[in-house]
Amino acid sequence: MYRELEKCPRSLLVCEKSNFENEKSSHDTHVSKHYFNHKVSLVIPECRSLPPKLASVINNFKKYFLIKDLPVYEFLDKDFLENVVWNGALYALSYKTSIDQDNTIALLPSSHLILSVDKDTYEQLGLEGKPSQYNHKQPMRYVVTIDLTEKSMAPGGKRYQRVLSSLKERVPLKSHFLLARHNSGVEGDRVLQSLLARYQWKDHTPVVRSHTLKDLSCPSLRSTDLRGEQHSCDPSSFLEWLGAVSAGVSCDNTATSFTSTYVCPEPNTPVSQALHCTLSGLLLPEDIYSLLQELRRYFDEPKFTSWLSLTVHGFMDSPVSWGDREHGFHKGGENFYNFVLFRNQDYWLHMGTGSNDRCPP
Amino acid sequence: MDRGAKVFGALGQRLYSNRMRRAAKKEEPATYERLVYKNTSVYHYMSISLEFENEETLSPAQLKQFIVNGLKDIYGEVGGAFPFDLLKFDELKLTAILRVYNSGLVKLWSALTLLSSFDQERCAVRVNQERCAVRVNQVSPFLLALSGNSRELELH
Amino acid sequence: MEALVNARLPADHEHILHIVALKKKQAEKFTTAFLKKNLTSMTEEKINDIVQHKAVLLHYARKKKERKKIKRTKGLNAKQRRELKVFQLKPENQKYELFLPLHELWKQYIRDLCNGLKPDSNPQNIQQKLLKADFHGAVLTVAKSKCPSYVGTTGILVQEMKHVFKIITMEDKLKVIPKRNSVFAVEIDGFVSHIFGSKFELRSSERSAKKFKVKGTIDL
Repeated sequence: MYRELEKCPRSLLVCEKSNFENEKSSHDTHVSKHYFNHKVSLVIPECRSLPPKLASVINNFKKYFLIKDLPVYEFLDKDFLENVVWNGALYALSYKTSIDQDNTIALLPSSHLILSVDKDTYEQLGLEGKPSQYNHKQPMRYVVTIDLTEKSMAPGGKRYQRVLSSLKERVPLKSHFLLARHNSGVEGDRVLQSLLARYQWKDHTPVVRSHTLKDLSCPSLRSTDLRGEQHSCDPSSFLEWLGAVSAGVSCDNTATSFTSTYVCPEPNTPVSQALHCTLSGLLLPEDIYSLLQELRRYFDEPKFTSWLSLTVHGFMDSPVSWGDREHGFHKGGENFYNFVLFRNQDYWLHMGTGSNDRCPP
Repeated sequence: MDRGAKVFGALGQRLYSNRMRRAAKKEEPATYERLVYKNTSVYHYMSISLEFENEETLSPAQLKQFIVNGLKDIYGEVGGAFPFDLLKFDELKLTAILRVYNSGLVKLWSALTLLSSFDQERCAVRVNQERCAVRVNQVSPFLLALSGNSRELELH
Repeated sequence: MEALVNARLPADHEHILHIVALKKKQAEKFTTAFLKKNLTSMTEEKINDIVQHKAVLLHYARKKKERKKIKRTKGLNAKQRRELKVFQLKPENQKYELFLPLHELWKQYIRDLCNGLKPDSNPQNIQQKLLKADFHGAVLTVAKSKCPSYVGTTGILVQEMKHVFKIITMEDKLKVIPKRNSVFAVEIDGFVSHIFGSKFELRSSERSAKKFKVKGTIDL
């Protein structure tokens, strides 16, 4: 009778195990291809405060801008294209737009402009696009991808003119934007500033929060045992534990407890303290990568813990997850990855996505 | 599932078994392995917030009982009897995190949506009912995803 | 009466008319002989019957007018039309400027039709009028379309067919745009009307007679 009610949408979890010193290790591309990151959270067992080197990397995360009501055609300005978009990685994502109901716009550092628009806007826009992969019978959402480095998109070109007139006259799309730039050339900064000056804007630095967790039990992990078959913890229960730590869920329950029966996965070891540090804002993959590199150096000095974890959450409303893979919301919009770093430079990488996402790379 | 991922998975398994044979050395760097799990989590997690007409305080146990009653109202004694956990309850902000088996997700979600009155005391003489609403903020098969809700990012 | 007919002629009359009346027997014989001779196809009995039949109807019979066959000028059939390309615009005539006078004419026509377009005119009335109006000469713009490349095309409508509009653009290009799955915008004196092409798939002559129904929302 309730058979239909017991179904639930699919989710994907990709787990990888490798070593940082392995030549073929692709941890760097996984980090750099995940463009829009909203939150980074670090869990270091047996650590009371951030080591100074780590703290300086965390405090050096690039600041980002919030621009109010920025028309999209501003990205196509000749000066802006030449100095900011083509020259140095620019990340822009519309802010407070939900991918499942609003028009969402993203500019990738690969100079791809992605417009994820609803059916009506698409019909008015007059730009070629593809129906979203996550439509039902009738397409209600379309994704228009414009490669700004293409020859025909050179300012003054035929296609350039068409895109410009679409975004300027036919459908003047505008939105609040989160914007960040990695390589800052002098000329690029000037052009960016002149753009900012025309609109209401504010710069933000990523918010850092850290606190120490006392007396908790940590699952024991062995770097060679990704599946959790040899007396260690399997990926999904490890991620659950990590989530519980991040959300502040208590693990000391009994099996007969009325409210919650959640306990730390077996086998576990008691840990007197652990550091939980989070950063939130628009975080650049480049910065995350340098954080990862710094974390690898954490084990240079002898430490009590054998592992530490770095979790990166993507924006739920970003039109892409990894690279230009389309991302949808459905009911959670989760797209995150998690590195578990071990003492001997081994690492685990977990990549999780919800139902409206393709398999991570 | 990606085809490539499947191939990788098989390759990874082979590498893995090779690794097992040569498991003599301990600190040897890990070999590449890739696993793709589909629907790996047996649970779904929900982040909810409660809204009451008047100021209300309730304990975690009361909240759980409240939800259990809601489930019974819709699905009956049998249909509504399935386990779920109240992982966390913030009594000040009235927000909570629930964990439920995948098979119970739709039922729990619908029951939460349809909860509309909070019975303070169920007694025969006087039923003091108060209107309330439960808002489901986020649902995910990963508990980890609940701590990274980008829709909560507020900038001024 | 019968007696009168059968009576002998008076003797003086014989004299005046210079005829000699036959005797009764002789007359009868003559009559039968005469009839027999002239009505060869009938038998004697039948002739007798007719003779006995006394009632004679004397009715007025109009002469049937001979209808003149009006020779209709037979036009070209579809095949001939196709071969001769009568309805196709020659490439040398595909000039935007050539159609500007038509556009002026159309504007004049719409203004007359709507009794002058003033800013305070009721848009609904205008729309009712436009629904039955002819659009040849109007400046059409594709406002929405399922096919993105049609969107934004503007030009003067030169030919309307059941399923397509043929418009000539500013760049002197003749474009054929299907009506289905597109929304067209028509602008006149500041009034912009949108035509849902899918509901407009009629010849303009048929459209004037069609009753359009009011619908809440229409999708493409």
